[in-house]
Amino acid sequence: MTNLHLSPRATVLIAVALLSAAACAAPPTALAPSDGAADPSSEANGTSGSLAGASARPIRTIALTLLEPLALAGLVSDGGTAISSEGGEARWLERLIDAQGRERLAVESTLIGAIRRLQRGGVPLDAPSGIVLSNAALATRAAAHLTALGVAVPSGVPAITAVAGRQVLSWARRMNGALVPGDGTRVVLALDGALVGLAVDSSPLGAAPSKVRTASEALTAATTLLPAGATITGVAVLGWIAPALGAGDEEQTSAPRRLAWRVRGSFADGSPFEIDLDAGSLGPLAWDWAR
Amino acid sequence: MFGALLSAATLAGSIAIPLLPPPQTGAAVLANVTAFNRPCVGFTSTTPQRLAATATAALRALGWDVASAVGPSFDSANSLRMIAPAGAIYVHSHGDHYVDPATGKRSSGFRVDGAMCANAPKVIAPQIVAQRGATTPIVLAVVSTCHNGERSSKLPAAFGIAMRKAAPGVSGPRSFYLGYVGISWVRAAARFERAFWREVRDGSSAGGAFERALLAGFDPIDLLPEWWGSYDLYPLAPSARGVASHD
Repeated sequence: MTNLHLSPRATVLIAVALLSAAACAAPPTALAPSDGAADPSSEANGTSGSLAGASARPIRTIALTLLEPLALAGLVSDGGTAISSEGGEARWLERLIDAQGRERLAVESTLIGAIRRLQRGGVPLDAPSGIVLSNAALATRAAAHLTALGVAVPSGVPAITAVAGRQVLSWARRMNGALVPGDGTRVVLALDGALVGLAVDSSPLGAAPSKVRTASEALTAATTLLPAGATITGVAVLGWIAPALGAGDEEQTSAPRRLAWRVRGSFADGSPFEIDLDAGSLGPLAWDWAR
Repeated sequence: MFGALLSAATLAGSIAIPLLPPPQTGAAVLANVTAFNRPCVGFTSTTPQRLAATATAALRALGWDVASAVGPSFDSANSLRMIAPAGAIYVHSHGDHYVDPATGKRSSGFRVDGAMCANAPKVIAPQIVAQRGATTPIVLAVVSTCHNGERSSKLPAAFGIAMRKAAPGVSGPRSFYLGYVGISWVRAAARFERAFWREVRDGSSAGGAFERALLAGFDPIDLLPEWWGSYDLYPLAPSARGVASHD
C-alpha cells in the first residue's frame, strides 16, 4: 500500500474542490462568462494544475510581486483557510500578520491560483510623496498593479470614485451589453497610486430567456406592482440581477444571475426604489430601495 | 480570533464583577422594519432584520452586551434611552439633515420605526447630545442611513467623534464612525456591511474592515461609505480589552 503524504493545506483544498464540484456546479443552462477581455473570469493568472491548490502561489511570493513589495521580515502567514465566497466559489484565504498581530496582506485565490481579492493593511492615507495622481494616471497605475499580480486588465476605461480618502477604480462586467451589477474588477488605490486592494468578481449567469420582453412592457408590468403614491421615474434598463429569496428580500448571491428589466422610481415619500422584473416573464425578481 | 479571549474575559468578569455591567459595555442595535415592508412599500423584506442580526452577532463577538429594538419597538423614547449609555451603536433607517424645531436650523439624524410608513418621528443630534451628556465618546457607530456619512452630518459629533481620520499607524481616538454619503441603496449596503462585520469579527481593525468591505461587490454609484475616527481601532467592548492581543 502506498502512503500519500499531503500537507494539511493540500488536503483541505482537495476536499473543498470535491465539495465545490458536487455542490456548486452551475446548472446546465448557466452561461459561462465569456465577455472577453472585460471578463474577470478569464483566469489569465491561473495555471492549469490538475491537483487543486497545487498552483496557488504562496502569499510571500505574492507579497514580493506587488509593485510596492512588502518587507517580509517579521511577517508570518496565518497558514491559510479554505473559504467560500458569497457567490459560492471555493477559495483559499491567506494572511500575512506582523509582530503586533496586524494584518499586512490578505489574499483570496481560487483553487487554481487566480487572485480574486487582495488587501494590503496599513497603507497611509496621505500620499507620503505628496503626489496626487490624475484619473488617467490612476487608471494606468491600477493596470500596472493588476499586471504585476498576473490579473487580467479589463478593456475600457474604469469608473473612478473617491471614497473615504481612497480612489476606487471599477471596470464593470457586461454580458451582451447588459450590466452585471457588482461584478467586474475593482482596484482601490491611495491618492498616490499605492495599492490598497483589488477584487475580481464574476457571478454565474443563468440562461437568457428565449424571448426578451420590451422595455415598454416592463414599465407597464412594473406599474402594476407599485404601492399607492409610487411612480416610475426612469427608463427600463436590462441587467443581470441576483434574484431575491422572495421578491424584495435579501438577494441570493450564490444563485445564477437572471436577466432582468431594472426599473427605478420613487415611493410616495420621495425615497427611491428599483424593481427588477424577469426579462422573459416580467415576474418580480427583486426590489432595492434607498433609505 | 477573539472567541477564546472573550470567553476568558467573560469568565474573569463574572467572578470579579457580579453586579451590573460597567458603563459603556452596552451596544444598541436599532432597525426600522415597518417603512421597508408592506403596506408601506410594494414588497415584503427581512433585510432590516438581517442587517440588525449581522450587526448584533458581530458586536456580541466583540464582547458588547447588545440590546436591540427592531421594528415598532424602535421608537423615539426607546432609542434615546438605549443610545444614552451605549458604547457602540448600529442604526438602520431613513436618515437626513432634518430641521431642528428648537433652532429652526438643519441638524442630522434618523427616523424611528414607530410602526409608521412615512413621517415617523426623528431622532436628531441635539436630542442625542442631551441624552448622552458628558458620556465617553462612542467606540463604534455604524449609521446605516442616507446622508449621515456626509461632512455636514451632526451625528458624529453627537456621539463624541471628531470628523478626522487617524491613519494606519497613527494614534487617534478610541472611536470609529461609519456612515454613507448621499443616497444609500440597501442591496449595496447589505453587501458592504456583511463584509465589514465579517472582517471585524475576524480581528481586523475597523479601518481595515472598512477597506476590505470596499472590495465587496457593489457600485459606488449606489453606496458611498465614509469613516471618521481611528483606522487602527479594534472595536472591542471594554470588558474584552486587555485580553485581546490588539488592544
